[in-house]
Amino acid sequence: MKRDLNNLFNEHHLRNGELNTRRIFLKNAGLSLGAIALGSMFPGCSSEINNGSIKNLNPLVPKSPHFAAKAKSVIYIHMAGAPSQFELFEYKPILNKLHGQDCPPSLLNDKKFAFIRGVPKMLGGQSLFEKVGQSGTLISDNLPHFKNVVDEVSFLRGMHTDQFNHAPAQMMMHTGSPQQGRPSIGSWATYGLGSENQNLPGFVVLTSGGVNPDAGKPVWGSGFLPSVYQGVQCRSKGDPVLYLGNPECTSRDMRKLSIDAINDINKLTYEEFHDPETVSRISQYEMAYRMQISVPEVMSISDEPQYIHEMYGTKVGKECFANNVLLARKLVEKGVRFVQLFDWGWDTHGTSKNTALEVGLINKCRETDKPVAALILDLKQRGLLDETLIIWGGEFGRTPMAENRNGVEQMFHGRDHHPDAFTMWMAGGGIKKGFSHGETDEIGYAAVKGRQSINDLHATILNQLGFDHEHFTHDFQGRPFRLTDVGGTVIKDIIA
Amino acid sequence: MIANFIGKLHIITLHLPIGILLLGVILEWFNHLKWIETSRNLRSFAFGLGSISAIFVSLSGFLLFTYGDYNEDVVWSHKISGFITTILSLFLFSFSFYKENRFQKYIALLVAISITLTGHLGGSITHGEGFLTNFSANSSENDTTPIFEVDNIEEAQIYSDLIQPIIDAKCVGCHGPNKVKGKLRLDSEAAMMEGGKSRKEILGPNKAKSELLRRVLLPLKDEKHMPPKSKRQVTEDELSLISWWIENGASFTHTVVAKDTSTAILELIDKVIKESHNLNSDQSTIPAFLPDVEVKAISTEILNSFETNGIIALPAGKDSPFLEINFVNVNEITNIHRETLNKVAENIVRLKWSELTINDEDLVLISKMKNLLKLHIDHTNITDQGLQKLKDLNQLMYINLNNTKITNQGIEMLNKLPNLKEIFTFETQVTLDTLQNGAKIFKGGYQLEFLPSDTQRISEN
Repeated sequence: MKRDLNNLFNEHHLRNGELNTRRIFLKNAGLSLGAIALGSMFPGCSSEINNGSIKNLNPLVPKSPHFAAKAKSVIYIHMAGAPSQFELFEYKPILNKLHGQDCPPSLLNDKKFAFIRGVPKMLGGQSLFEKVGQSGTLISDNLPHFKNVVDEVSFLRGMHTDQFNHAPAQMMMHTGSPQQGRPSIGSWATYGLGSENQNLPGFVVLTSGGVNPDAGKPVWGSGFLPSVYQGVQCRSKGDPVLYLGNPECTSRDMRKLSIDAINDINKLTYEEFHDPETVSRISQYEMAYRMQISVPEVMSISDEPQYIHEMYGTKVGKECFANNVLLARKLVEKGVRFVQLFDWGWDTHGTSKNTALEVGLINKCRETDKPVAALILDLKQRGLLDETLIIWGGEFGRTPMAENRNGVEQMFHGRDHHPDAFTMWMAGGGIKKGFSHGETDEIGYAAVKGRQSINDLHATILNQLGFDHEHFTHDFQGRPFRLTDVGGTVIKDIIA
Repeated sequence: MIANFIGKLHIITLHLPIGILLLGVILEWFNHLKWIETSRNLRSFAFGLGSISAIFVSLSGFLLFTYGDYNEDVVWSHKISGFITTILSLFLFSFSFYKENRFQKYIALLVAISITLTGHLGGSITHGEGFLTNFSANSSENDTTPIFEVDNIEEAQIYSDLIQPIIDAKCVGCHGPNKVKGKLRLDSEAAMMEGGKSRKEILGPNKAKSELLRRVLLPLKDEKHMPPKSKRQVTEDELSLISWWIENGASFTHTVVAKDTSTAILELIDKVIKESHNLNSDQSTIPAFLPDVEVKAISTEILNSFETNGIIALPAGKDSPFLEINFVNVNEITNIHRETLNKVAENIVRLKWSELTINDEDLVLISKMKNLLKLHIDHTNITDQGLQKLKDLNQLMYINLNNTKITNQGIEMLNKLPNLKEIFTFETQVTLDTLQNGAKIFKGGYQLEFLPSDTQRISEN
């Protein structure tokens, strides 16, 4: 018996030794080091959120910014396709004189254009300008209504970007990076400030006629932020939010019971795994339930008085930009943080009448001029303009040269993509009134004064919302990320 | 080339003799005080190694001075004290190597003093005079913001009052008494006239001829751009001012009024001065105004109480004692709301009661909010009677009365509020335009003229 016991001990030693060879030790050590490294790569899954109780987990709860902010909400009007600054805001008499002459080689050296080949001809402004407002700003006749509100806005005449194709340039404009994967401005805003109205999404996206911008939905995506911060696309016709209604034969009470049951299970899952995406899911179910009542109400413009419809030029029951602009005002009035409007069709190459400066562009102006001017005036009379930041712009500018696709002159006037200089404007939200920042050269080819990057624009937007853009970060893949990446300075010149 | 490289090694290797010699000195004294006993060999080894590195550092320092752009006057004392340190350390080494000497520990002390002095003098060359004693948090930023002392712009001396402060702030750090990069100094008229290594005219008559302007105007990524990319740049307005000075003959003696009296220039100067004051006061980026009074901090209990009752109550910025309150998620005011609001009445700077079921009596709550800046009571049932309760809100700047039963009579009651700027009365019966206290009344009702082009489209065919 004693001998047997000894054998047992010996065997245990032997087995133990076999399992702890040098080779096995090194293998285990390698795995553990890898596990440690992996742990540090997922900071988003740990720390802060783990400590909170499930009750306070609503990711859209309103939060304070870094410092007292002037702007509480933002309406971003993106004119996808890039409107031509020369037919809207930039009066260049010297360019008009050079009309029809060959472009000097100094402007073409080392430059790459999307479509211009060889030596193009200079193209003078295709519209008349008038000095308007107390600020004496020159505005094109293409924007007759905008002339009335020019003393409310600050122009950024020296904007530039580094992308000359639509999709990456739009990504750059909305996320600060030409590649996918970064959160959009609206996502950052709701991530930092939460949402005031608990019955409505904090970040709403409206596209005219349902045409998405070239870059697709990532321009209002949440990137590496939890997906609860992504933009909610609403439609101005039919169901405002898709799949919001109850399934057939399901009552609202039944719906409530099932959502509660699902959320209870989700809460258990969260307590086990602490994945922030589970929280997103819980709050989105709850939000969807509340939105069933609140969204149809706020998304209907038919209750608005007649003079408001006339002011905006809205068409009840149709899909159009004007309806979206009116909706944007209603949403902001109800406490929605960020409304993003997309309008497509500003890519005036001049290859057909529809994209010609003398036809297509003018039609686009006629569709959008009145609603935009009305938005400024309407917010002003409602006492909301001082807290609502409006931003208007495309993704880049257009060339002072005529486009000559494939080296051939075209039947219509058009301009190619131009990232070196373009005009945007901002209004309300603590921005100066009737002011111009920046200046381009005599032919509008490049900015000579107030040359601002998109990072600068983003820094300024965040500043008006109360954030120091250098300290507003989210940890991802082991390092803190910012909307402005490693650049950006606040454009103090336009801050009132 | 090699000599230049060895010269630059000075910056790195100079730390060797400091560390090694100081270690030797410490060992020497610890041994003397019998705290830690060490062998003579070890101490002598430390002094020996220290001396050798000191010799190398002295030589490389000399090369750095020869090839780098340093000012003789400033470097002189560093050079002499470095030389003395090297000699002393050699002495120390030979003493300790050949024979234990009772003066040895005093020489060691001298080495320690002289090495500290040399290090400090060297540090002052690189980091600037007073680097050690300047504790101001933003010193690096403030150093590069010009400080103007101008009372009357028209009478100001162009050079000494306007241009020199900019150049002092942005250029003289590297082109002045401490460092003379590119053999150029910009801290005096004579030095500017003399120019630098390239012998080009610094203050030529125009943009193309003036080397100073040309360098500043080069693109930021150009290697020759000044100030270097990593340093604070000359702002656009400062640049316009310097260009104006240079294009008008770069006078060192004239006043502004003697050269140019156009309003554009006066405005530009005014702007540059104001901007520098703003930067120096650290107030520039905070966009919203808050009252300049002390109020007690808000407890988290109160914030939680607001939250559980459906009210958004947020501090106006991180750690701010002021509160912004929004009733967007409730329809009416309950007694719990009233109680909580009363507790923090003085902290509230913004109150949003839009579309709330309230009556005139509820405005009593508001009358206690002494620091209120913005008040939204639009789309409510309040009347002229209620506004009486607001007559002590001395900080109030903005009041929104849209779509209420307010009339001119009620509005008149607000004309004693000293800070009131904007009153919104869209969709009310108010007809006034302004109040005696200067407050502007926005009655709204704006319309855009109907134009045929609003509906017509240019045909596509």
